[in-house]
Amino acid sequence: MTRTVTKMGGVYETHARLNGSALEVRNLNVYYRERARMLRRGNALERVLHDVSFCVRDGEILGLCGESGCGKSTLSKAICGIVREFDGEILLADERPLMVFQDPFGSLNPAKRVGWLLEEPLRADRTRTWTPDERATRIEEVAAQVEVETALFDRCPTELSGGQRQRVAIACAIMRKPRFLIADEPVSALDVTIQKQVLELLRSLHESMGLSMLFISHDLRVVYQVCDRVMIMREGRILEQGVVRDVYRNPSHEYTRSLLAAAGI
Amino acid sequence: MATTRTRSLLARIPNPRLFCAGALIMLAVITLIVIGMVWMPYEPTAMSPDRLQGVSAAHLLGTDKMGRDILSRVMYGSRITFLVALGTMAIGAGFGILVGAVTGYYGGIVDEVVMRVTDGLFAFPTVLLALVIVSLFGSSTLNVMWALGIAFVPSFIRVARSEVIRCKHLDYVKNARLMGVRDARVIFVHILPNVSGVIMSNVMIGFNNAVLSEAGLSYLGIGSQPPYASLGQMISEAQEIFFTVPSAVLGPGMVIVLMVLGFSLMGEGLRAAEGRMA
Amino acid sequence: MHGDSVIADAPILQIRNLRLEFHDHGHPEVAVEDLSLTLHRGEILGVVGESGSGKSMTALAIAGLLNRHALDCGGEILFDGVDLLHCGRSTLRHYQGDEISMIFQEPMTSLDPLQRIGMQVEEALRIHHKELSAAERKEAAIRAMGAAGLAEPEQVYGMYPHELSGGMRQRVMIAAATVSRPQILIADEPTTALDVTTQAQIIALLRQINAEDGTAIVFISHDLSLVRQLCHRVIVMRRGVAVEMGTSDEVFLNPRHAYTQSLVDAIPKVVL
Repeated sequence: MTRTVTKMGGVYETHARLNGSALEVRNLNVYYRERARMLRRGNALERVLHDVSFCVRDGEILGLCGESGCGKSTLSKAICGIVREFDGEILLADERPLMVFQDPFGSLNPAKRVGWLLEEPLRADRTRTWTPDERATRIEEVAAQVEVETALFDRCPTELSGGQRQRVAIACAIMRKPRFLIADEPVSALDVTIQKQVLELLRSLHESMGLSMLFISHDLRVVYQVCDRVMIMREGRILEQGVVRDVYRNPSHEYTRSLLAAAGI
Repeated sequence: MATTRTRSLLARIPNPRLFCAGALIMLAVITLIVIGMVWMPYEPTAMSPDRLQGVSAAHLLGTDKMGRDILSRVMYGSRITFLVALGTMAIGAGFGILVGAVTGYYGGIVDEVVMRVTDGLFAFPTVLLALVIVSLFGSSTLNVMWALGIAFVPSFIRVARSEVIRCKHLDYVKNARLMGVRDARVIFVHILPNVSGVIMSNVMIGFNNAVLSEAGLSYLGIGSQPPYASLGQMISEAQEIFFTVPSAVLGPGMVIVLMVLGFSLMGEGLRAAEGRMA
Repeated sequence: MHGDSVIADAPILQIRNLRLEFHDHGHPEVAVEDLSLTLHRGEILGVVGESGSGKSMTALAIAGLLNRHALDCGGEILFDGVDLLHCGRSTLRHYQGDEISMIFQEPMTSLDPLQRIGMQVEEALRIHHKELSAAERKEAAIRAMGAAGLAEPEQVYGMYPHELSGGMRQRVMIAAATVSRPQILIADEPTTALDVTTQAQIIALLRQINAEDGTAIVFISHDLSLVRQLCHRVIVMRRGVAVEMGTSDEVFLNPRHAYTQSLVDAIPKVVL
């Protein structure tokens, strides 16, 4: 159990003992400090997340929906432990989560080869050392899971298609057998047919590994397809959360209704 | 395997044609230097009674006013100039990239201070800065190398820093940090290889400046001491016999031009054309 | 539905056997192959396809924005009896921005950050309608901005792009593209970079421009549900070839081509 307490009293804890959840966020407030000028420390704090509380249960995909600037990415940063200025509690059952990002062109190091990229999470694992043999077996295992052919290992990411890249990115994220990961708009930059395949892959990983996920997306249709529950967020606040179908059927908030209407649901 | 690897490396160069043209020119210059290390027509410092001779079969570039063979001296002088430029880049780029990458990555107060110091150093012209250092520590080839190297550090700090800052917010760098990759590895294994194109292009251009600055300094009489001479010194010595033996100026001048041209073309070849992805 | 009456109208733009081939680094790459289509007056034509389908290339070709040096082109794009693909630059400039204008995906980069909004909206008038006085231009610009759904256009007129949100910038772009009342508006993924609720507003705006001014719109998108909402007719492109063409309903309800079918299937279904 590793527990960090920030100056503002925020608690960030990994390997916490949680009752049946992978992630619990309690009364989280995140602040942005105006960029400190030389010599003069500005105290202007702006609150960007307001009293956010939710949990991701074991083996659950929780959708997070909202428009740009609603605080989606701030929340994911906070969960990854990058944000310093917050109060409230962020409790993780496992280690710090990895992320699958939106842009498959930006999330893989273009100077490296796929094989190297897949191995990096294992080399960087601080909880245990992986022998070269173990690494090789694990990489092969995961590559088969995400359907990345070994023939691609010698290629650079620039030589892969968008879908292949996103598969590699997902492989990197699940390499250390995490229980929880964050998918930040993982299919928004992909063509629709590829999008479908990647969503199916995420869903199957979720089923085979019991992987829980925070699935961030602006697309309510995609959320409907992969998520068990959904949270709607606006201006740093969670407006409502619940089982996807219930929320879509009986949105309790006007904003949710307008999102649904815009998506043609 | 090896061939596909080189081919893909070449394919990653934004403008391989320019790069190869530059590399060919450099190859010619380096061949001249390497031949000079094994064999020279005459001893470059050996004087002879045949002074101020024009181009002939015995002396391909003629002789200077002490009867020394100019071709041999050009071969020797290019070696000095080339090595000084190489050393200058090793010091300037090596140190500059290291400091720039680290301060750019961490940011904060150290970064701020380093940037102000480099701004201060930028205010001095390179040659003037080198002159100050040389006059403090004495004029020798090695000191010139150090002086120029230090004078070149700020520009590399700038380049490396801005490139690292550009990259450190990219998703793959974030990813690496989330995975728990250690900072030094993030900087040197994850970030720097991706900005190597820009940095190498600057190294090539820096190399040019080093050649020119060294030539300039030795023209002013600072650097390697007689009877050995770098190219700049040879030109400086030969200007009074320019009309008698033009090859005494044109020979070393040509080599300087070729070196500068070669590196410019290579640097230009490495630089991504406007509006195209690297 | 409205499709039939529209098609009876005169064609405004005709593309015949368009072929675009790039030779980048000596490797010829076919971007568009044997594309023929007709755009009718007052029609909204959707061009759907995934990345690499050649849909944006087609749009740029119509707008005359392709770099002709890096390109082999065949066929013709007829507007007003002129072949836009092979005509001289000055002829092309005569139409660009006046009769044919274009809006792009990225509202953040398609405006000049150093110029006031008003200047940029008026640009087309300044070039093509020199007879107008400054006051008339301003009046036209403000009218166009109001029509594009910008509240308080007089104030926005004097602002800079960074003071506006993404949705407002896209409205400014639309105002700039429609200020000279073009006959054809090409919209290349105009809503992809926007939030869903803003997206819906922009779609409504395009529909309104089409209905009120009779502007024909070529709407390029990868988003099938949007295309279906907006367009009268649809062309589905794949790897430079038009695989299917028809009215929206025909294409989406009874896709004839397997690829169209797979595109339709890929839209996540929501059954409540």
